[in-house]
Amino acid sequence: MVFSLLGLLIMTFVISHVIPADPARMVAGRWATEEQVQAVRKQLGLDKPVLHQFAIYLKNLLKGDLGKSILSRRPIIEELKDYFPPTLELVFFAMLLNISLAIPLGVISASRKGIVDGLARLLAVFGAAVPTFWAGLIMQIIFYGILHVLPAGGRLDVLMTPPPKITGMFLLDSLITGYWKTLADALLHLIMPALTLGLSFVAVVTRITRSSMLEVLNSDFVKTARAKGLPESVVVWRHALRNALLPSLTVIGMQLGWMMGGTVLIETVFSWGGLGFWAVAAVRQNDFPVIMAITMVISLTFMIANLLVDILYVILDPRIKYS
Amino acid sequence: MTTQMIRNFLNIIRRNKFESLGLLLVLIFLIMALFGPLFAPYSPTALNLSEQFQPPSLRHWFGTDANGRDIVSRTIVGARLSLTIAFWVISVATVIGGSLGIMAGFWGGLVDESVMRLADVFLAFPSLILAMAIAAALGTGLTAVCIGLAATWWPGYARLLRSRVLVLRQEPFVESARAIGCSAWRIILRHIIPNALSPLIVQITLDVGYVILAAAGLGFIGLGVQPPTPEWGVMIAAGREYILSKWWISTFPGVALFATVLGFNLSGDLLRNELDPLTRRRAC
Repeated sequence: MVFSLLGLLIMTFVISHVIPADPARMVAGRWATEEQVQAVRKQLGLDKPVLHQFAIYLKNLLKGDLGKSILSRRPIIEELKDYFPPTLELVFFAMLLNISLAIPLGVISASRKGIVDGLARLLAVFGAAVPTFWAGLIMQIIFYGILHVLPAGGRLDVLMTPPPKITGMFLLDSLITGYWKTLADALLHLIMPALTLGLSFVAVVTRITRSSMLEVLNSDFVKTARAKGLPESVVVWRHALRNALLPSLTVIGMQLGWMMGGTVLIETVFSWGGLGFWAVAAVRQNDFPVIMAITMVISLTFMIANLLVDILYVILDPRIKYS
Repeated sequence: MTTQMIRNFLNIIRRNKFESLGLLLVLIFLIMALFGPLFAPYSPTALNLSEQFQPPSLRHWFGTDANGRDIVSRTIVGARLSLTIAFWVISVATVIGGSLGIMAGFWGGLVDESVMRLADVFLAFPSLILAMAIAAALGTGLTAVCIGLAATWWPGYARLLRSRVLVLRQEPFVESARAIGCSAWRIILRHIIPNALSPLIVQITLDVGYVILAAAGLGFIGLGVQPPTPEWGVMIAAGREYILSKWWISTFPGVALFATVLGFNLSGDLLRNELDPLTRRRAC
């Protein structure tokens, strides 16, 4: 963990300080005056040795100083408070929604062959290949343009007042404060982005759950459970699933990174005002400090999530021990 | 080509009916990428404002975009750019990642430790985010995107080849080569690499699809080639504003992208089934 954190910091440092032809110009922006660029150069210590520059970089980070946005001229850390919660909300909801789709689908597909199995396998093939940002647009055409059942984008209806800000996540805030109508509307707005974001996730997790279930269902303890007359549902959902979950968990951890990255594509499609939406705006306007800050925040979140997955392993499988 | 070869090929197709669809899709993609400009019906970049936003018709099968450009032509010509990006990214990733992986597996110890740690650092980032940051640091353009993507793809090849080398190193034929005094280079070039080729080919085939997908994603968010160059991701982004009224602008380039990625995925599965029966996707 300490090592990965250090590696992550070194990488972001290299990308922002070493790769660009003129890092100060990148941080100050294309239209900055020569004096502004000089000021940035001094602030980043770009005339000093690389190691010293890295120390300055770390010191600024520890102070919570991620630099200033070229566009808004506001400290990035301030803007993060607005952009991070929506992304967290979307990814978290997407995880829950897609896990609750993928694991049952994988289990049913393995234990009862037939139509479900065929569909699940098709989904596994197509879901891994579909461009998510394009699928999002197609879903908008179908569910908003033709069927009118789901909102096209945004986090809330324009006429809806957002709940009082506590966490910045509309779902949680409206739940805490009892804004039930807002809660329902926020949920409706989450469905399409969450499903789109999870397309490849569902494909991969279903496939892994299916194949590890097939393996477990052939093992001796399942035969024993069946032989002693347990109902098939108990055998499948209690005995087999628990032992088949570990490989799925590994993939879920890895796919989480894919999902965090996917927000960059999906949030733009659905005008979801989070990190990804902000990242694309920053790319279009050459707002380099913002791009680097988002890179760091998303990667940090990914790292923490993987740590949580590792901890979950131990809880699920007592045989695993970390020294 | 002998009849035996044709018969073998037909047998492979018979054994992998569904996956063979992938070969067909890849073939179509390659024809578009190699010869596209020869048979594209209109110019992919010339403005024609009198024909903007034409819905699909006999004249323009996929319709026209905001600048009156024919979407069939742009989609066909766009294939070449995707193939170019995939070619460079995978070449660089295979050469760099592959050699690092082979060295790590062959010499072990400190080399192994440092290469794998380095790979772990790269893998700690969500791939799209890392590619985005590197490409943004390098400025816009095709090279920036290729470097960004290659940087996120090499660890996969390092890991793959390292694990192959670790297995092969224990094989009797490598041991005997060492015993008769072959140099490390000779062992690597003559004994290890040829035996590591099958999984490598499978991986490359699968990755061509994923690199094309990632490159289109970067194009979609505005990195890489800039309009008016026909690139599938850029084309999908261009239709986003009008998605409900002019659905064809984004839909058709997306179908091409989807079909291409699907084609390479299925072909990769087919190759895996045929070349590498041991690591075949279990029961799937």
